[in-house]
Amino acid sequence: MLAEIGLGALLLAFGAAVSALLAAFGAGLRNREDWLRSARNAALLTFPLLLCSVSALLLALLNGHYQISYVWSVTDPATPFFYRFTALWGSQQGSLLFWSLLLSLYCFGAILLNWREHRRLMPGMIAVTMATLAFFLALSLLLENPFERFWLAADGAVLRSAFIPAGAREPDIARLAATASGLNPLLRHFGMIIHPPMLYLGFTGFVIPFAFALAALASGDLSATWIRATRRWTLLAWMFLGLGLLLGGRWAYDVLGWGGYWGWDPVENAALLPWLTGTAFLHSVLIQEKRGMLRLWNMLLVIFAFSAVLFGTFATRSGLIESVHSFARSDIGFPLFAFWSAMTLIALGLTLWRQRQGLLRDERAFAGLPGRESLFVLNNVVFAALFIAIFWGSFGAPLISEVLLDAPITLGVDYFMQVTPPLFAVLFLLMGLAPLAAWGNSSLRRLGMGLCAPLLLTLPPLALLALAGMRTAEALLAYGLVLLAGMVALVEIIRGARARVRARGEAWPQALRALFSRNRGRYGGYVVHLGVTVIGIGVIGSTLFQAETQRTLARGESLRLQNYELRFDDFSEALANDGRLLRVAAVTLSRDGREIALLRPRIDVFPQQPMTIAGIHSSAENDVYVLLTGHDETGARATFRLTINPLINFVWWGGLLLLAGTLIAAWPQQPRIASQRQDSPLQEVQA
Amino acid sequence: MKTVLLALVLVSLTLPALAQPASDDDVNAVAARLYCPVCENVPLDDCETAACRQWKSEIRYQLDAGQAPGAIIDDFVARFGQRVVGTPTDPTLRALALVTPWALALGAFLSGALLLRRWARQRRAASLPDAHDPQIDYRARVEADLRARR
Repeated sequence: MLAEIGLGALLLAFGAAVSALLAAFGAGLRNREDWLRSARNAALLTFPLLLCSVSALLLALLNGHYQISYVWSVTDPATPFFYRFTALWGSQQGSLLFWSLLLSLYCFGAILLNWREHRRLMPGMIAVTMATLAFFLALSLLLENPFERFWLAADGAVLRSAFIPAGAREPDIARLAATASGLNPLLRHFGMIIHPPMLYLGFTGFVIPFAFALAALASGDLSATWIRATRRWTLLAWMFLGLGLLLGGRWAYDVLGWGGYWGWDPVENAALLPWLTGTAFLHSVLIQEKRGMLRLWNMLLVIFAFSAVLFGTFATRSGLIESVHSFARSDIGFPLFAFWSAMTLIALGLTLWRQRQGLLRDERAFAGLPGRESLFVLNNVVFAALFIAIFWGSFGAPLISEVLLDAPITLGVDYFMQVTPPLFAVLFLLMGLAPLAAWGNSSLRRLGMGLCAPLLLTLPPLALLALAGMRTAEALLAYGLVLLAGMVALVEIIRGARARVRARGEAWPQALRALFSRNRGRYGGYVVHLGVTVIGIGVIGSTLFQAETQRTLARGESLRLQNYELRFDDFSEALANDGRLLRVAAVTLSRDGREIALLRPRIDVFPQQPMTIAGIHSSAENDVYVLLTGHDETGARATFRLTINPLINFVWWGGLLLLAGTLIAAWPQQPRIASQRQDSPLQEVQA
Repeated sequence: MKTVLLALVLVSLTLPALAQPASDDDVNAVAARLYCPVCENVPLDDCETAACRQWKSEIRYQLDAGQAPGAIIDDFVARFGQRVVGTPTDPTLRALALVTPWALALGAFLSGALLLRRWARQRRAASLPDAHDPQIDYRARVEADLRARR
């Protein structure tokens, strides 16, 4: 029954999306208000219908309806409740349906929140979002149906179909349960409950800015309206995507057993590309808002951000790339490629058309090189260069060399560590300089004056690092740039609060609160900069100063790395409730001769594959990461890999700061200010 | 003399056997620069599949036999192709891989520089007074009237 309900709701949602698309398109062409209302209602309906469909699949997963082939392929009777929930996005069909649900949620929110204020853009916005939703729902219905069931044909053959084939009957449920596959071991991690939803929320969220941009292009209303409608949605999608990337890094760190969090894998990079484009847009959109410049560039950034989302989806789900993060090879590759190409070409064609009409011309001229807008342009150029370098390394070079030169190549960490660090260094430098420059006319003198305090604050920690033994020029330069960027943000916050304290006599906490509530975008942005600084500290420490050793030890033997010593104490085997065999080593970790932790690195042996789960001793200074990589039959000798990851926890803490900053920036302004803004046209009329 | 030469040859043949066996760290240092074609995009030192373990055993064997790390990598490339290394060793492919992004990035920087230059020109052009602009005559007259009123 659950399969019928889920499939029925999915079919209805597809119908609603198509009718909303047609009605919105017609409303835009004929300027019909009644059709637009009809489009709105149909578009709003897709969300509850998809919620119903996803709920049906979730209930089937939780209750073990193994006749549904998706449930059979991602769970088994031993799967714990927690992982039955995460199994919803554990494989292609479920995750595609979940993707569509999130897409419809965004459409639902965007229509409700923007209906009154941006009515003129609504036909285009609804048409684009519903075209995207209808496409993904069609994939679910035709190629990756999560409600397909197993049937037994009259000749005993097992069939898979959404509807009962003629002459077929239901198979024995107990037998299906006994043969069920269970969830991919890589996905059995706490992070899996939050990492994919965050990543999908980030990916799907970029559809709203893209839809508003296309609506503006189609309607010809290329004033600042679409930018106002778009910015907060972009910020939301950017925040979720950033969180998804960080949580993905944490999952890789805990589960993949290689001691790192970012492997420059093409799938990781596919998720990073729209985030980079979104970051560039969030900066350059300020120039359009404040100065009326970069109108064409902003349009292109929004288009490329969503295009990168679609390309990443294609790369991850088509089988184009083989990776621990990607889905199995699938038939949806070609339709996804066609949809990505079509959407990108349509958007670029519309942009070119409006550009030729002069509707994307800048309103104001450039004021001078040290001005903030020119630094933002440089920032965008660096983001574009990073995008190119990462895209080239992940997809461009491997595809071109294989297709044109018949020489398959892999561009791994070596390539990315040669190409990206200089670009990130320039980005941090600009992150430090841009907040100090004024809009329009600025001067190098002003920039230099502004830099004095942050530079003075940057020097002591740098000197401490040098005294602590960090003497390499690249490390000092990297930390110098990162710390400078953070200090500039910190000084700007303090400067703003101090001005309030002096001018209004407010206490510091009150001044800070008022500062953040009056200009959320600016000061939320500074907190984001602080978060990126903290992440940068962690990335540099864990990349440049990581130390590693591996040895095979007999019980009682030790291995040393820096001032740490690891002693192999014991080895045992146990069977877990979900059927996996646990091979656990007990080790003692000492530092400078003093025991500091008892760790239990282990190997989880699943029927499909073994997984290496690290024992980690975590502190602010570093993580000591111990892997059991092998052992003999009796467990008398075992091989351990010991890795010291300095400052790695700064990466996660920085992520929290980044989240806080984005929430501050995206949070709606105080009602008092909002009501003033609403009243202003009326006041103008009265005046 | 022949005896001395024979002794030298025998000593050089036995040297690898007498040498210290390769440690796990030595093996991982070489493996970190290789990618197994079965588990795409995972460096060999981080991969624990059967195929990767076999490759690591082969690296250990070659290190124990006295092969230099570079020679071992060249041997793997010769047998399995350029995809087993993180950056191609073939000069053409290496240039394609490493030079192209910098060339494209340079293009992006030049585009940015051209944009800034165009803006600067527009600004200069905007700041020059246009002798035929009726607005200028009008403004001059308004300013003259204002001065006269004062």
